[in-house]
Amino acid sequence: MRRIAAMGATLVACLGAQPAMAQKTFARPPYAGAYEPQGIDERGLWMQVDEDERTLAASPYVVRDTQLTDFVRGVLCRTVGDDRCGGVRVYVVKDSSFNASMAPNGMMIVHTGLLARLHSEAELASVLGHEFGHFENRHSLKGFRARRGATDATSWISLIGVVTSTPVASTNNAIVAGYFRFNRDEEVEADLLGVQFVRSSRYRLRASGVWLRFVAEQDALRAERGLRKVPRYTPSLLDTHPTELQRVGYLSTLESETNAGDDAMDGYRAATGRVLPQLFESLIKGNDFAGVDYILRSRGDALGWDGPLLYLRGELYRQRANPRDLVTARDLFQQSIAQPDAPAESWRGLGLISVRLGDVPAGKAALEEYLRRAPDSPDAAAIKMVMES
Amino acid sequence: MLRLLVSAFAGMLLLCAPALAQEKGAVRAGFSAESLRGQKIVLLRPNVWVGSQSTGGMPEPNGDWTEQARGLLDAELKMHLAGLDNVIVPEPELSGDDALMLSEHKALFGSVAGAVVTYQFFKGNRLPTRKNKAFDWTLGPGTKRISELSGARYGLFILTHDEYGSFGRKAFQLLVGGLVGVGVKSGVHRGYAGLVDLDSGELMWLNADEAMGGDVRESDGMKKCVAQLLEDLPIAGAGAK
Repeated sequence: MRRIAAMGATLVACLGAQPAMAQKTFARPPYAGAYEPQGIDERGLWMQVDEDERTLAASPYVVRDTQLTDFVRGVLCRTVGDDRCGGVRVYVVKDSSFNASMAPNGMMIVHTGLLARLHSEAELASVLGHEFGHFENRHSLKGFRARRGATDATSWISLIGVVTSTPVASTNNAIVAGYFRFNRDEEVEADLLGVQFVRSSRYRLRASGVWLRFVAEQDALRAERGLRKVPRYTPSLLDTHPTELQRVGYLSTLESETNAGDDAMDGYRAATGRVLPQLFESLIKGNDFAGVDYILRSRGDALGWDGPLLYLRGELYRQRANPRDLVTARDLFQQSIAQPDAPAESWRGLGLISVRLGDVPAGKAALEEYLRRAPDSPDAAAIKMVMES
Repeated sequence: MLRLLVSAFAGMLLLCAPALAQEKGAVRAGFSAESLRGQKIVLLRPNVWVGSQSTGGMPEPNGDWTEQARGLLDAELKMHLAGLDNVIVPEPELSGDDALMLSEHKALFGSVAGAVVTYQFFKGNRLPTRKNKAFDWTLGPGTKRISELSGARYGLFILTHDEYGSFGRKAFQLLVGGLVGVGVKSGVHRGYAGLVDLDSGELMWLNADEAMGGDVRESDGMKKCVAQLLEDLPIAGAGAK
């Protein structure tokens, strides 16, 4: 741990005056106002992402839930300020991966997998602040130009190498590695700008924990698959981002400088709890048992085990369906049912498992209760068939 | 060492510019100019991309050229199809479930057209079930809803992608050709067009052209481009050639 912290300190020191400035004032950078793309490259990029946004806006991948979208937008506005967030379009997209992105034209994409993994508005603020940092500093444009510069240079160098019989591979490799280094530097820049946004907002800076949990989730998955855990403190040559532990390092250093601000866990629990099945649907159905179990447990430990969350964990075990999993799932469904906010599906899960475990009367009773609570569910007919057989 | 480098270099160039300079189109059996005459055609928002190609072969989007090409394409298509008394209507502005339905069908068309190109049109990758077989593809009956919403019998899908070689790319092409003797492609000009019978969902005609001509940034060039794009569409004797 000390090693991580020491590394973080060096990194912050290397990055110059930016964090120190943030520490003093905690102010947002001045805002320029409505912006139109300048020059051929930027106008071209905007044209491209404008088309992408047309497609996305009518895509079935977008979660059509105004309340959820407004919640995310609200956190963004409180983080970067109302003037900046005014033009941003937020899309919550059905994607189980831990990610979010922002396009140069102001289109922000937030994955359901991100919302499933976070625990507070403050954590969401740190991620949205980072993405907005990319937007604010026009990283898409700079990245495009860096890529073009690198490929142009390697083309010419290769030609010169061939013509003059000079080996140039290492020169070209250095240019490519330089491009990736540039990319990592922009990620750190976005992290630091994001920190500045969060600090000037009402939220507490809670960025390192997000990355620590992500490392723990991946470790859980590796352990399940029998893969070695490799703690990485330094990025490899072709990494596009700083390593998670590097980010934990410098972000926790910045967090230790002040602990002012609000976590706003209650608001987060309420806003995401309402749509929990949608956020977890593809995670539960995926094949990453240990990782998803970790995500569910960490949410339960941080925000409390309510009926819907217990149900989801029961489903995770029911779908893996080892004999021992069925017993665990039955227990989880029973715990869920004991909660006042248990979803009807908990009775379905309990019923199906009881039937499979041989307790037919209890199974039928639970399934009957499911149909009583959700008579119009799409699987009602199938459940009735199970009950009759 | 030199040989190794040259071959590695040539390999890199091949990766950058796959040799696809071919053209291929097909018409569904029984589809003729008569089936098209007087029908309303809905033009789904064309997928237009115009830009340059950097020295290293990277596409560089150009917003102004793209906007220009969009306008020219629209006007030229209308003129070209006027001869068959066809009325071209733009894609309807939809919201809610209908908007999702339309976007799904546009994506479906992309997948089906991609499958035709990959598995039936060009040699090398043909599926045994599609090799030398009739042109028989469909999007399914779900397209009927598009017909109801737009009032059109046919749906026209267009994609054009034009990368003009930048000065650097052209110089690179010249020098590599002269000094190493390896061909480097400068510019990419791709055009796909397809016509779907919205009543049945069947694909009536598809043209995939990996070597389009005509400068889409000028009206004369666009005329040539559209003529090439609609080449095999059975509108013989009609339209401005």
